[in-house]
Amino acid sequence: MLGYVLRRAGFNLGVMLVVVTLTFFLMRLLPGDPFMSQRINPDIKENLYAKYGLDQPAARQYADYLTALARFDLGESLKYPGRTVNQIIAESFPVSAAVGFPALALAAFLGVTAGVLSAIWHNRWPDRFILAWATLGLSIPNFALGAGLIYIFALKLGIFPVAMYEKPLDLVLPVLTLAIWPAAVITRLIRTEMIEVLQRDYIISARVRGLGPAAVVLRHALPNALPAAIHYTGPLAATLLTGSFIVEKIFALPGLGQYYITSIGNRDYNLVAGITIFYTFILLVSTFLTDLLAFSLNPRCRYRNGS
Amino acid sequence: MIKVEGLTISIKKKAQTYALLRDVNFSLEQGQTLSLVGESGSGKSLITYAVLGMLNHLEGLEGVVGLPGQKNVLRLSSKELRRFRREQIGYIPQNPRECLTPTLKVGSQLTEVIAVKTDRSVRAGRLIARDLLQSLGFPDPEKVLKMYPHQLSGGMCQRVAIAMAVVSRPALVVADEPTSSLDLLIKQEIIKVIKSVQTEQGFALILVTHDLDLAFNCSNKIAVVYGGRLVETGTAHNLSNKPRHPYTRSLVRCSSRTGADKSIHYIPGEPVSIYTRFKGCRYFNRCLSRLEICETREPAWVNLGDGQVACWHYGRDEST
Amino acid sequence: MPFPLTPGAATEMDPDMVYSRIVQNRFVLACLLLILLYVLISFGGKFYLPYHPNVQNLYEANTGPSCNHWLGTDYLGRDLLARILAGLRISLVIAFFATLINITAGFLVGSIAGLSGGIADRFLTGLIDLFWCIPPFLVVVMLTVVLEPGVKNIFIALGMVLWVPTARIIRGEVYQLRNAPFIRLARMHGAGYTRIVFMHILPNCFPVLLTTAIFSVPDAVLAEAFLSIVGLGVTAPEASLGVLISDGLQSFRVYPWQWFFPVLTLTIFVLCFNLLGDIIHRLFRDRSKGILEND
Repeated sequence: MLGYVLRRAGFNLGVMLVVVTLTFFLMRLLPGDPFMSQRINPDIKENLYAKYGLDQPAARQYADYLTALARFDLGESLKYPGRTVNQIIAESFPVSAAVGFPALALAAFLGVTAGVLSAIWHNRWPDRFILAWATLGLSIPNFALGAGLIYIFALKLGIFPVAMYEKPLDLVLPVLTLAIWPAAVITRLIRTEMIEVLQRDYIISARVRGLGPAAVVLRHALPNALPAAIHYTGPLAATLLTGSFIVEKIFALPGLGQYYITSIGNRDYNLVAGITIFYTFILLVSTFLTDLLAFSLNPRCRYRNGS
Repeated sequence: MIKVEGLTISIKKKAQTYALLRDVNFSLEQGQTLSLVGESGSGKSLITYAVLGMLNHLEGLEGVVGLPGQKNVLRLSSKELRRFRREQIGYIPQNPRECLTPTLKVGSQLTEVIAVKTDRSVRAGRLIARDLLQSLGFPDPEKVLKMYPHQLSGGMCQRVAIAMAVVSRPALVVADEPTSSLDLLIKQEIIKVIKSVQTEQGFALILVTHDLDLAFNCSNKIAVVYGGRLVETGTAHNLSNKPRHPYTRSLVRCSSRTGADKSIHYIPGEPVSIYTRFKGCRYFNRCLSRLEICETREPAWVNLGDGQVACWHYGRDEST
Repeated sequence: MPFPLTPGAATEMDPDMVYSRIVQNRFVLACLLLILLYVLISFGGKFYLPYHPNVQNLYEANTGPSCNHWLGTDYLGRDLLARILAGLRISLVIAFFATLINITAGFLVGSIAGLSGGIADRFLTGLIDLFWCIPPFLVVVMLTVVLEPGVKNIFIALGMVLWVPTARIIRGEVYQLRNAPFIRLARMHGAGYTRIVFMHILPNCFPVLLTTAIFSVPDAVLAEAFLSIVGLGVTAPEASLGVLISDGLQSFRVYPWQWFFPVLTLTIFVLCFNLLGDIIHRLFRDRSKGILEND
């Protein structure tokens, strides 16, 4: 078990390194530089370069960056003078997470419930009904959904505000928008797994032994159907937590995603690299956690000794 | 007394009706054992599913399955069906390890079944579980209760399944090929265990098997199934010494009980699929003693006193 | 009672049955026809449409649907119907080529990894896992910025990101097939890798590949739309569906049709593919699953 964790951690570290390197060099391949939008004196530009160490050879910059990274120092933003990348991330990530976490919870709850119900009444009208909605939810892109929801609920009905970030109520529409697609995917995943599990011998035996349907579904069937969906949830959680760019854009939320796009356009090397690293980190951690969760649900992995 | 009368299952596929089971009749006293013998695909498992009430949702289900003090199993509502399964019946499955939920501990599953079947609390159920396992031959029940199904051997799993089946002292226990996935020595042990519990509790046992020797050794009565209907029933003694139906005769010859003759016997041909429609006797193509009438008319079910048979060689109808 | 048990029978799969199942299923037919329709009008539309998608007419800017302009006009007076069709064309092209790259790269990498075993397998699988861990949108965004914007570079970037899950799936399948008797036989007879891959593995992976391809098209279209919204899509005046939607987002509060019609087009398109993929997937899965209850 420990071996697995260590190996996994090692692998993750390797991935981080590759991502950092790729980002580093890709950014510098881009035409333009961080200060191109401002019309400044070439002398001042030189000073700025020196200040941020951009005049050093690339290899040296890379080494410097890595050493700073080891101290969790992601550097200063080149576009927002005086603010470090860490600061920016610390400010904007909570916004993204405030939308992401509830969306994740909602998607999981909706997805599992709908999937289970759909599998129980397989091929009858609840199944078709749920499946139809799930396929629809899968097909409507979230930018379409977000705008649509705003149109109906904010503009026409006036229930929710159009695009603000002040009270919890403001978050309802963004969370809903973000949660629909993952909910649809999870519904379909769980449904497929549950249908398969419900045909297994141990479920049939459980029913023949007189166990009630609720117990059979929840205690015997569901834990066997979950692992597949859980594996999928890892990357999904990361995507949701770090905020969807589009949703943040539509609802004018000051989250992490917004910064990412603009910083690429600004050639703000440090910010881009910092956000990339942060995002990769979240992705690796959540994948790892969900894999561990799936691992622990399967008794066969936990006890490796036979009788 | 357990009675099955006129059990028929038909399904509709593309506007055609096919009979999966046709007019199955047999009966069984308490404490007796009936073996359902037949090849793969003959329908013997279907009969057990019907008796367990697992096919009640099918439209083309007809007939009566009667247990003492119980109305027709095939017409029970879901609530009554659940009660029936909890109190009156036990089931020992074919593949023991597959029939235990892999994500739950054995003790947890067993206790749950016990609590449900005997209407007791979970804690009481645990004590019962321990005693039950002990009586079934487990030297260290506590250890087993804490394990997961994949950690147990096939024989151990089967014993747990037996425990689950008999805890409510049912009237009928159905064992669907309980030993076919076990090793030879374990096979005999398990049969012994089942038999000893039967003696102790006195339930009727329906044993589904394709092993004729097992059937002859363990049962009072035997019912031979072919192509979705019973072709012969009788006592084990009669069937082993003077089998009537040609199929039964071929089966007996094929089994290892043949005496002097050392050659390997087999029945040429393949078992007939339920989808083939055939006017006459379904065994016609492989029968070694077929008559003309066998091709055109299906033989009637004839009662000969010490057994029943469906073959034109016996008790031919005078009226055509 | 919920989830009843039904004894059924395994059905044999043969071409006639597959054909009839596809044709008889009205949904599948509808989806296929709709997709065909989309392709036809988007590519053929430029021949008989009265308006060119890039012609501006500021006098008629921002008009709603009318007899002149069936779907209205955008902020520069360009006919929306023509623009949607042109956009559909571009999106289709991008999606098609991205899917092509996806399937080809995914299949090749996956099958080589699955077949070879040993170091090559470990290396390739490690590579696949590595790429799988890198957040895809990072790669796409990076690539589209590094390469100049344009239709070709977009689908290259998309293809380079989409192939990873495909490779994973294919590798899984091939790994299972690897020990199949007929593969071993082929190897014993001295068949080379190329032969084994193309004559044995490919036909067996066909259902998986087909389903992946069908689901990959809408993924690519949506990804391209995402890129456009973020500002990295095709350059003006050419527009893909994504660009149209993005423009529409700016003004949808005042001129909702400018957003609604591109979105509707896109959603129907994606829906058709998803439904189609579902059905094909179910079709191929039923064949291997027999529900024979009796024994």
